[in-house]
Amino acid sequence: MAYSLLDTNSSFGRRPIGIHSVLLLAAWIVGGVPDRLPGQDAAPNPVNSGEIDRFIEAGWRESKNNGNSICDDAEFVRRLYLDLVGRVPSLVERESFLADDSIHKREQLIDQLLASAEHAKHLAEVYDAILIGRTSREELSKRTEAGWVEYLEESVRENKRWDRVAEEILLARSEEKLGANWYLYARKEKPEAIAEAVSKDFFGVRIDCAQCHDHPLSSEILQKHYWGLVAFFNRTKNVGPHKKPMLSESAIGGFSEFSNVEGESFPNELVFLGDRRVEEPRPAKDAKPEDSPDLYVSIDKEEYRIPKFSRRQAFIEKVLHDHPLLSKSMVNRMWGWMMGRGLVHPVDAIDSYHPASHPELLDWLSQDFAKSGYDVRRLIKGLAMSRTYQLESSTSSAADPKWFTYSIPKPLTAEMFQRSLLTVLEPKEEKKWNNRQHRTDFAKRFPDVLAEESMSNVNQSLMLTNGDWLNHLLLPDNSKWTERLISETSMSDESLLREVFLRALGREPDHEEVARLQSFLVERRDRRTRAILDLVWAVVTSAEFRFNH
Amino acid sequence: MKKTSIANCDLPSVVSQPTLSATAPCGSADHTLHRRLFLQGSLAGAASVASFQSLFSVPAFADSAKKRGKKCILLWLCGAPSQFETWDPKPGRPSSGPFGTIQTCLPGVRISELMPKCASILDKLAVVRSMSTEASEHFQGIDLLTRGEPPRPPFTRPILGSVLAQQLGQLDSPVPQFVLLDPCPEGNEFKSFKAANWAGWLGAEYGPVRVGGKYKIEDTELPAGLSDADHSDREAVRSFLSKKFENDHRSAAIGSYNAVYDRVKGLMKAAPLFDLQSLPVADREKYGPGTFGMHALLARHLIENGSTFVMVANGMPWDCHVLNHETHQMLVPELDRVVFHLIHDLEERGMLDDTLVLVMGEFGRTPWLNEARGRDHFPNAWSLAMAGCGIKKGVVYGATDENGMAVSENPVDQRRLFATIYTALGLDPYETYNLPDFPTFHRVEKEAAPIADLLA
Repeated sequence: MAYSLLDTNSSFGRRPIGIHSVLLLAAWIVGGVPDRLPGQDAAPNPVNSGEIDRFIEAGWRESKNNGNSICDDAEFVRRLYLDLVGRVPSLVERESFLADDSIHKREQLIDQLLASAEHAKHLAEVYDAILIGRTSREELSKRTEAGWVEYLEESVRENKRWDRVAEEILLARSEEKLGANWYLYARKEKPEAIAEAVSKDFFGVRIDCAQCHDHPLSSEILQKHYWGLVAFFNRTKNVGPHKKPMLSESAIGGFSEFSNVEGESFPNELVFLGDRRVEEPRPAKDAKPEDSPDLYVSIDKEEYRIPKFSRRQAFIEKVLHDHPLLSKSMVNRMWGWMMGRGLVHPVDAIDSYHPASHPELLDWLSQDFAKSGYDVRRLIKGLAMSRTYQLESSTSSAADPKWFTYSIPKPLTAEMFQRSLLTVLEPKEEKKWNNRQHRTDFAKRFPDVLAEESMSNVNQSLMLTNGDWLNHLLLPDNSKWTERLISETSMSDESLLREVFLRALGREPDHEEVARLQSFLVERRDRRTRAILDLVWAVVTSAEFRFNH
Repeated sequence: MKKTSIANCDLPSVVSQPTLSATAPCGSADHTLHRRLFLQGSLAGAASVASFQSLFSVPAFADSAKKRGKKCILLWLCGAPSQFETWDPKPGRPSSGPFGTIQTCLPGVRISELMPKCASILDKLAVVRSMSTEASEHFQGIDLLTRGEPPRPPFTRPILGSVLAQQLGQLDSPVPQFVLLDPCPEGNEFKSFKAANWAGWLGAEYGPVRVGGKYKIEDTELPAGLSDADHSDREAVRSFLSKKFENDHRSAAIGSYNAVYDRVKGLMKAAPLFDLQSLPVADREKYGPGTFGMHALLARHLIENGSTFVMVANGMPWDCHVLNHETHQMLVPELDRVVFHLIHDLEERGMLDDTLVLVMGEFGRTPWLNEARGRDHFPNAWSLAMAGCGIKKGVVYGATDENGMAVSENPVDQRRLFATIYTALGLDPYETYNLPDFPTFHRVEKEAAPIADLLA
């Protein structure tokens, strides 16, 4: 299992480009998959994936661990589809990748998937779960109606600069793109909740406990940062119905004091991490500043107001802009997404108490990301191209996972799990199995996205064992695939097993599995439908299906 | 087959069975073995052996309850209550709030007037007024006070409930051995605590069953058309495939996903236990209507029917940074009532002698008020209470100074607390975990001594 430079069992550099890749290319063109915007095709300066690997391999040497070999194409194609488009590849997609002879086929697949509409939908779902969190069906409807989901999808589709996404979301003043406003609007005018979310989501730092005192474990996180961040958002008011969310801002107010545990009081100045601050004259303690139309750029029926001095605007310009944590937090998050754990772990704890496993790598990648114009697609591609990402996942090593000596198995998110089940089972009526209720049912039971450590709950096994959704969807009345498996009575047990494994798990069954499962089928010769349904159920609920590895 | 998964290979005290017929050619073995045994046959790991045995003899509730060992209920006051408004009032001092004190049934001992019922049974309780710990944040505090040690990554020490489930519980019982009852068991508030790896190096099978809020478990009926036998068989196939995968990877998350399937059968059987409607109205009225009380009642019921450890948590209402007194005025009387009835009921059922009841949060609260008239986190000097199994009755241990600023007598840290808890439950606090590839860990580190004055 030890890694050596000579050990390559992938198809890299083996064969010249063959007819398959030409056909595949033709298929893309006909299918019209790429929907890139003009000018985005060529990333002139791709992430140096080799640099990533050099840092990681230095870590292997330092920790005296051996790394895995690069995974084969079958392992790669399943992993990549799950990470980039949120579902397992179909049998056809898998086969055409395996049959492709191009030496660049991994890169080509990465580009193809990153440019697909499915990628935008998938990554938007991930962002949504991270930025606002799991929710009820009603709330999901509101988010959708507010335009938030569409805003996220569009941002991914256009590969909008991450710093611009952050600005749009936090300034929340675009007249056309109201969807971006939902992030603040959804916090229902609770500036503390806004501050805690903003810090976690755009700076990768949890400041929650600095509400009461300077952070006891991370000395750089001060109580004044908490209340400073709160102050940037405490003049903000929700205006308009949820379908037209607007964030008004007052020109006055929002001055208060906070006290530490010793009972000393301090003014809530406009300051945040890294001592980034905005000066604003404070009125005398007993003064009552008068609100006046002069203080506003525009006032819309007294409701929606934009002040001349806007704290949100000041936050964007003086705090958020080019803040080193803005790039670092996104790099660490996407690293965690692709690699199974953050360089700082958990991903939203970038503080002195949680040192990075590879600090130089994190710094280098963060600077590279900022220099690239916060190009998220380029970052993901760089990660996916690295050897680190493409390692085999199977291991018996006792190495601390922070050394990334193998590809860390990642639990599928609720959406990925459900979508993969739909891909495999191929419902006759897709819509019947994928409404908002279904989605929130899954999300409620599988809430984790980039969890520090993902632990399962009995609600999951009970739902998949006994719940209606999967048990009904499996039935030949509902699934095109099980209907086909059952109706093809001439199919041998061996080919049936092979199809089930390839389609659901992306691999052939091994010797032992064939032997055991064949006897399972033989024993149920007289009730073959039951046997096939039970087999399919067992495969799609297996841990191998449930994880990306 | 490689035997590598954390969950499978690190079980300290359960003997791993050698692989059974993993490579036996199927054709012949098939005919000699029961089909389920056959499908389960290749599973390595102790957990699978246990569940395989349970396929043949699922113990009824009565049996598992009969073998009753020692049990524990933890009333987890998440967010951390104030010691001043509960067990350690400071009448007449600046740190005192508006509430007075009340004479307890122990001569000379007074507690907050918000707890008249507990005052009347203080002779059954043990109160520690001298807790002194170092974690002042919720996550660190909760971790410390539920595991007994600060973290030492990448090793994850099991939480108290997992240790007790493993040491005192019956893994093959249909009744879950470690239950977390919480209004929101999957998280939201304090998600990273609730969703954390509680079983740690013991393996996911000793993790909690997290339920609550609805007083009922969903999805406990097999789908139409699936017989019990077919359900068992398809689960055996699922498990066979999954454990192979688990063995080829190192991931606590995979172990945890497999472990929750091992519980399905038991939970389908035990589901009626979680149905509060099945309990007498009088009981529900005594404990309810709040979730905390209802869950305490459910805890009593689960312990009575074979659970080993039940943790009753309730979000974090105790975190009174704002309006400390008003919040305690609402919460403490409920706590008072619930503790009183729980102790009373356990005693009446003859269960108190082998059920340890712990009433605690992750730290205490400041002797002073902040600007929002709240009390902030204060780990330096705080209180907790316990009763039952192995614990001396009517003890008030330790003391704080006149303003509650510091412990003045007999400080107790988390190690001594855990040493006391384990000793009370008949477990050796210093037992070594025998974990391959791990440093040497003990149930309680640094040979911290149990507190003799608290032990019966």
